[in-house]
Amino acid sequence: MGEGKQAVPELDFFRSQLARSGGRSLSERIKDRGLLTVVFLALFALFLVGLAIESAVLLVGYIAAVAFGAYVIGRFKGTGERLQNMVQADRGYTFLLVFLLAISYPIIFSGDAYLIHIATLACIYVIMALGLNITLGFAGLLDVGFAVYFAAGAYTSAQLAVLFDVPFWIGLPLGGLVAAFFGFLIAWPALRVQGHYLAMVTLGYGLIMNILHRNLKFLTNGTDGVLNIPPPSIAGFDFLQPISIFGFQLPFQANFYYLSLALIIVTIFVSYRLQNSNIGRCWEAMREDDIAGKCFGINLTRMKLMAFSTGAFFGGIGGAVFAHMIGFVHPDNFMLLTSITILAMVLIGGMGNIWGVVIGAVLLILIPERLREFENLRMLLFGASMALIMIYRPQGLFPSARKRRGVDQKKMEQLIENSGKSGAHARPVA
Amino acid sequence: MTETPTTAQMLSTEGLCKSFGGLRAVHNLNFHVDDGEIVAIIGPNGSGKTTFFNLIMQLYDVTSGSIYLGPERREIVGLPTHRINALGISRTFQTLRLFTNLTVLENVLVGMNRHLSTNYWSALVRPESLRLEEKEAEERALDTLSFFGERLLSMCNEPAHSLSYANRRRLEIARVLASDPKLILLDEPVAGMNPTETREVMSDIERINESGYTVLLIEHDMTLVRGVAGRVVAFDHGQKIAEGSFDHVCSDPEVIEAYLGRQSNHAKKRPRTARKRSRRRSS
Amino acid sequence: MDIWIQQLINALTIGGMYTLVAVGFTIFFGVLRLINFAHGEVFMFAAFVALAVSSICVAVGITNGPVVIILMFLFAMGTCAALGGLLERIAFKPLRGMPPLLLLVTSLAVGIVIREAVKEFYPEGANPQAFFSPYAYNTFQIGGVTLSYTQIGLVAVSVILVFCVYLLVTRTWMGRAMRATSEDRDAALMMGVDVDAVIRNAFFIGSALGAAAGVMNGLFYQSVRFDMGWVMGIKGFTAAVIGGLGNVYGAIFGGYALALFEVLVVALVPNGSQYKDVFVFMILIAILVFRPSGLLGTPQEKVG
Repeated sequence: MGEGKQAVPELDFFRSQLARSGGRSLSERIKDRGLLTVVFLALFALFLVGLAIESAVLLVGYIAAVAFGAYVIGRFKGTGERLQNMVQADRGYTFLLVFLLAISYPIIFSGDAYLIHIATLACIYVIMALGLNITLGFAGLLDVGFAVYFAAGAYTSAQLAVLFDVPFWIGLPLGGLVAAFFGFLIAWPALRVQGHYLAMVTLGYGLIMNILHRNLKFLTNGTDGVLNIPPPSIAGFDFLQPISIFGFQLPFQANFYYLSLALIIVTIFVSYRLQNSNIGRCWEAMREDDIAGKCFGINLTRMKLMAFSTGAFFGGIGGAVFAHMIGFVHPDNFMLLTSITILAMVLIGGMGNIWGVVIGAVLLILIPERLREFENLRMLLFGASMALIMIYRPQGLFPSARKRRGVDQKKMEQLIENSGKSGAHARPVA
Repeated sequence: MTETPTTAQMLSTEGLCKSFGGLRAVHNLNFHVDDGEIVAIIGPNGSGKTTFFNLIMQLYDVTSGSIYLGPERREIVGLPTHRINALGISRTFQTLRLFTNLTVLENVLVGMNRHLSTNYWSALVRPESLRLEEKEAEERALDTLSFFGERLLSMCNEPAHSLSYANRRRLEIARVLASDPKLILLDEPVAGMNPTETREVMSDIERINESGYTVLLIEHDMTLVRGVAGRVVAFDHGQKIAEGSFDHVCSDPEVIEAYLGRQSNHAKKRPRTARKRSRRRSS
Repeated sequence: MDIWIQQLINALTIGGMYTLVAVGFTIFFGVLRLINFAHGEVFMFAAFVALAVSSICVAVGITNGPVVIILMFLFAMGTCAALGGLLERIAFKPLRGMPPLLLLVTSLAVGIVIREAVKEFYPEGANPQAFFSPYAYNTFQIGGVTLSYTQIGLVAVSVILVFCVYLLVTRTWMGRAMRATSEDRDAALMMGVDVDAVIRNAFFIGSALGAAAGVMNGLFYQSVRFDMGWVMGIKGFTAAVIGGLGNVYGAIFGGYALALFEVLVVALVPNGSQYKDVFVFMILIAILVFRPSGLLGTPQEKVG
């Protein structure tokens, strides 16, 4: 389509669109978009149904059925890959679709404040899991003390607000920065160790900090916790007031939901940009072989510090939002189990895969919340399912697809042809 | 004890020593490579060749002595490894050390790292200058890959672990070329290759040298050494035992002894005799 | 002065337990490069098995102290050896050769399962349980030092078990195979060592020793809790690190050294008992960072 060479603006537009979509025709693209929409709507519907199920026993059955269904569909070769390609080819659209669905969530459940509340909690954990994903998934640095940054962000913004009346919007970035500083603090000694040892160093760090949370009363109020943390407000609008969007009356929890959704988008943006930059490539190279990395000019110290602090920053952001949403911060929120939970989100989602981690975090918060009926068996189920996933699917539910924008086929063929003719030229630099 | 350089020196060492506990892996080494040369280091296993490379890259801490780079004789002992690379030394590894899950192209791009920005904020903002830099880097990377004809180019979007053994060795060299160094260190570039492949690598090394790179290589394959090396240096027990043209070094009795072993009953004890040996020689 | 001797003997008792747990950590790490955080829970599980044994004994009318205690040790060690073997078979064997993080997280997850299972399924498992300890109050005095028979017994048991480990590692074929596997698993495999059997045995032995420590812990403190395993796990691990992971002699040294260190911290640092664990973990981090081969090991330069 669009053969004419005349300067018709519409045609040029289509042509550029065509070039970007890798030469697929418009009708194919519309078909793909339709298919994507249907798939995502169906997934979202499955998700909503799952949330709406009240009985824990039914829910377990439902999850099993969905997992089995996914397994069966996955057996048909190429289904997953096809979907992945479709998403890859039309990333902007997919993102828009997911974004719209996420926005619609509180509207759908506008009558159920609790469901919005736990979704917000899930969003906060998504932010933190994405933070850990930068440290662990991108740079391969094991951090089993992530709750430290969570705590740093939460305590910083909470105490600033409670003691000095600092508004949330200043406390939030400060919380992130203080957390980043804590990341920096452990990264420094941790530069010398790897693998198991790094994991144990960070684990010990988490344990030490948690003891300090309990005992340094002048900073954290010890086991009394920080109480009465004021909610954020924008231009006089208090986050504890109900909100109306598009004429829908939503409970106040929706404020926090949309806030954390916005922060997730920022986090994903940062993750994505870093992953696809030279920094991301250096991280990956360092993860693969640090000695070769060093020999090719990668400043390991700098890269590791960057990875630790960036991850910790988002941990702190999550902490700050958490503190102001719950209104109460206690050392019990930052125990080893929190670190393990965040770690499990990244591992179960698939290290390095941004969307996988998002899904991992959402599932790991929502499912246990909906299983409250099981009370104590919840933890048992958590441990057992984590162990099972590690054993039977060690790469996570959504392993990181190493699909990068490569050189396109045509260009490659041309280059090969040229190289065959001209032969040797070693100096690569013009 | 340094020899007066006839041409500009690319790399020289003075009294370089490295000991691991009691073992002297490199001992009092005075060594130099001139600009534009191809120098081959030979010597039996454990004679300190690879240790020497690791010392140049500062992967090991030097026990004593100095390493100078370039005609301006810049001391590089004590610098971090990534700075050594930034100053223009790149190496390959005897046991391949590719980034196996990265694509061939990405491996080369990492090799180019010393020319690329790792600025945090620009990675987030992606200004026009960064986009341009990335585009140019990719062009240059492809250009570098084309050094080996289609062997690597046709695989450039594939992960490095999918390459054949010989192509992995080529990719190691491509990665070094991509960093556009002054001095290239090749650690046994033809280990495990068949004679045809060896001949090809020989011509590759010559082409590399012709385009202006100085090459220092470690090799056991004497065909290659004879074929490409302008000067041969023989190591034994961390010391330089002979130096000169290939024929000269190979006819040196000490070199022959080092490779074939002494006839005497000392032969059995050899692995532990670094110290004993040097004492014997000085007496 | 008397207080110091008293503390020293306490350190010896606790150190014995740390050592027994640390030996488990160190041999798991040796043969499998695994930091097994389920090990602390195995320790806790053993205490509950012993508790059940003592309850049953009382119920059927066996009240002879030594008999009950011996039964407790036997059953706890046997059950936990089986449990350790089971964990190895179902959780760690499928993950051999996987990145360390996966093994670590799996062991944490398995630990959670054991802990929660005890909490849920043992009658009243969520509450602290009084432990059968018949000789805790039979004390005698030497100089100004008060000693209980339990404590003397525990020191003796731990020393005997540690000595058995020493003999096992140095004098038996299995011990040699285990050391060889720690040194280089592939080489051991090629030299005809049945590495699978070595790993299995390592889990039997390590878990049984941890179990002994669990029973000792119950006898010493006269109470057990479902969540006591975690703390013991991390302490035992620290002890293993102090001596150098993978080094059995090191674990023996590390266990006693750690207990002594704790006693010193509590005695010398103001508010010491509050911050005791902070110091312990700082030691852990410092050794991992600056002397990863442990206080007894020789530092090695990394090969490029």
